[in-house]
Amino acid sequence: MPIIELRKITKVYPGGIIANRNVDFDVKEGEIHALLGENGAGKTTLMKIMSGGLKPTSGEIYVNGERVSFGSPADALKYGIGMVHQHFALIPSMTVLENLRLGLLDRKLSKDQLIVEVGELSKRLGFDLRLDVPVDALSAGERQRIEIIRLLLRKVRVLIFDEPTSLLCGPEIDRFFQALKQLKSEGHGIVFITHKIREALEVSDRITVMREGRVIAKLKRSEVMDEEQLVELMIGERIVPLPDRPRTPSDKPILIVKDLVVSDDLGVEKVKGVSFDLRAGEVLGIAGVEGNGQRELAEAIAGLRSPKSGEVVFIGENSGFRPSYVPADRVELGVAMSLSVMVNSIIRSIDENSKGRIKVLDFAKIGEFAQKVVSFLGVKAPSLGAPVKYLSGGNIQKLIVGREILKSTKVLIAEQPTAGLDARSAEMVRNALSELASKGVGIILISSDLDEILKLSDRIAVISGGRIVKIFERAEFDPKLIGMHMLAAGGYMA
Amino acid sequence: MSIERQVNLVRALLALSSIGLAFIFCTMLITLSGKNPGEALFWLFYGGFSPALIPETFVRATPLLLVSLGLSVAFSAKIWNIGAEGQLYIGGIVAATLALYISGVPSPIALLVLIVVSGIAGALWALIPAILRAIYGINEVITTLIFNYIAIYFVSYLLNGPLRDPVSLFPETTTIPDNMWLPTVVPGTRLHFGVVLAFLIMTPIMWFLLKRTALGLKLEILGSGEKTAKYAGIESVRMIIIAMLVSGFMAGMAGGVEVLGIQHKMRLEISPPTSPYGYTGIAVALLGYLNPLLIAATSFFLGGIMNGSTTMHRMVGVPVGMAGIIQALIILFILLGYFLEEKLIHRIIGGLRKVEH
Repeated sequence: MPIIELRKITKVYPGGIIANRNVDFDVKEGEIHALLGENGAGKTTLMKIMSGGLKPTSGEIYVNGERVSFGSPADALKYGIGMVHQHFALIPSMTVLENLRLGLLDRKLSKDQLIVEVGELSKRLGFDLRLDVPVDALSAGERQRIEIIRLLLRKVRVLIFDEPTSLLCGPEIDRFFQALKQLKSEGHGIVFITHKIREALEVSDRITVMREGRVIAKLKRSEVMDEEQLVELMIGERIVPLPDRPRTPSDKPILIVKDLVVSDDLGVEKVKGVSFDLRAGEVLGIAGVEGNGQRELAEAIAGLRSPKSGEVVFIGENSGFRPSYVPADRVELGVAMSLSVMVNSIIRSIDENSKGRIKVLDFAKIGEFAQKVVSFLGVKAPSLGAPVKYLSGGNIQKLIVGREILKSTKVLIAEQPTAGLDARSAEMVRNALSELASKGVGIILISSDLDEILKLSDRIAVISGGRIVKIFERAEFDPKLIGMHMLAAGGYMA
Repeated sequence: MSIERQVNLVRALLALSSIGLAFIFCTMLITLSGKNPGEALFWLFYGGFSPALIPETFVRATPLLLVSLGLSVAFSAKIWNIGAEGQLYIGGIVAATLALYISGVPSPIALLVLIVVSGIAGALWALIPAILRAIYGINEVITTLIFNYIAIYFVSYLLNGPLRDPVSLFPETTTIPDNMWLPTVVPGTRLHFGVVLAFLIMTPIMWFLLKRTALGLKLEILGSGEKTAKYAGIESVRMIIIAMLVSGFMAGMAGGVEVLGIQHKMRLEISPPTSPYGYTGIAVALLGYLNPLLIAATSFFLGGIMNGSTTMHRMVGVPVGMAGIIQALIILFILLGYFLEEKLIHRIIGGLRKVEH
């Protein structure tokens, strides 16, 4: 018998949007159950219903065969169902121990008992939690471990993870998967919401695929033949693969970076003397483990961070030239959250969109451009006038990418342009980048997704420890070799 | 119904119900003080909004409107200029003093100069906090507040000392010659040119500046985050200084207009002690959603309440302090409405958003 079972769940949001249609779902003891689907497929909604965060419009929930209804996440916790959300629910200024004590609800534990119990749990799962550090000093992976411990302290039997790997870097993902396997062997039921097929295949025992609010398939791991099969189930149609375009970048550089040294906000040198050039019509991939100076490099080239020394020269442009830039930090940097979709689509070209000496905004022109941006990658927005804060993360990303691509430019820096996007949108972004390059724009592509870099780039520069350790020409592309360079020379710092 | 429509509907309903709630509380307070609430509220509204007294409400609302229009510019960029009161005093004293010196100049030119100079004086008073904030990142709330005390005590010194009218019993300047008074627009009322300036000239100008120009948009982007502003290529140092100077200018002008149009001299009570223009203007700007058109309406409403509460005090004997409490209650409830608004709007739109995940 499953620990928890959802029967015929339907969820209609106010406004009439149907997020779940007649969905059946269950979690058994000692299994990892992957819930796979694109952005907006209804995965998170379903799991919020299962963990008490949302009430279903209709349908039934059974725990151990007994019909229940959850009024709040605390109710679900009483039945042993807990969820780790995409954005962690920890108080950053408080220490790890204080955060753990907060989550105990009605379990009475003294501080010493708590430390002992946390110690035991950590040992079993292979965690090394520092208890007296404030949470804001911790990495995403460490925060996630705190959330897991917190749920286990509440004696949950089912743990739900919403896109748990989206904030983690390579080695942290492995550690997370090991912890999942340990939890499974202890008899916990685990739900793993993801849109990454490879990860679903790597750890899960069962895979449920959702699309447009419905369950499309329920498969045992052994029934899955290949990734293609799951891609088809997820998106319902075949992705058009990138054409094998023999791009012909010109020999003329349009950007020269020379001996660039850049520090981060704390004054730590992150880029330690980087030189390269970018040619018109080429995609230069920058491959590296996150945190090896990519962000500081991108910000320096984009003109957002003044370098300590060295030069960034855009050939044939005056000194005030600013390239198009898709920042990795979409919410803090890329958009003004309280302003409209329309305004955000011209946020980096306000003067170009105003007329006369007193610079009156040309709303006709702005509206037209905003419409183009929205339809380019299919941004789902209530209206052009709606504040961006009402858009989901993936749609904000599409807005930023679309805006930067459509703005006429000669150089584009794209940092993690497909992060958080579903397979179809990601492919659309890649196609758009490729097309932009064939029109003669020089693109610097910074991504932690090596496949993406391999697919799109004409050359790949490997950055490690703040230095470019090697530049590969397309003919020399070899994932293994590139991976080795990424990790070489003390490159791994994150 | 479009999202914007729904949002505006929620706003309107909340605004009405919070004003309603405020009056219910006022009724209770007045009853507790042993007065007849029906009678009191009648005089409150009569004093503020009866046709014969509406010109006076406009007169009262004028300095409030000028101050809050200026503040809306700074607040759009999340630059919290709390110093309008001091800037208003500086504008007032400069106008009153200068008017005595240039009384030989033809009236229209002199008045124009006086209004502009009082604005510039207010802007200069805001300049030091502006530079401290823009370049050194020093919190403008503290500096502008401190500058209020400096301004008010400095003006108080001048009014008790060098600039005091030798024959007056009060600390105030000599009355300025009547060719330096702002002309009355409607005979038989105190509606002076400053009212026209505030409601018909500055309100549309400020609306246009904030809602239709690149400058207004840049201020709003700066307000939504300095990082984003930097990414958008906005020079925040320049924007912060502009925002502070504009708001200082408007507050200084409010002081000048009040001196030239109503008081005809600079006095220590140029700003009513129960609801000082410089501070009440903060509430007005926020209550008006930093939108100059709504701010004009809010100024008129609060101006009416200010006048009406004096009438209520005179006619029913509700203590003056109670009038202050009632004004504060109205502001408080409207702010509470704001708080609820965010939540309600999130509910409306939450559905649209969650389904994306």
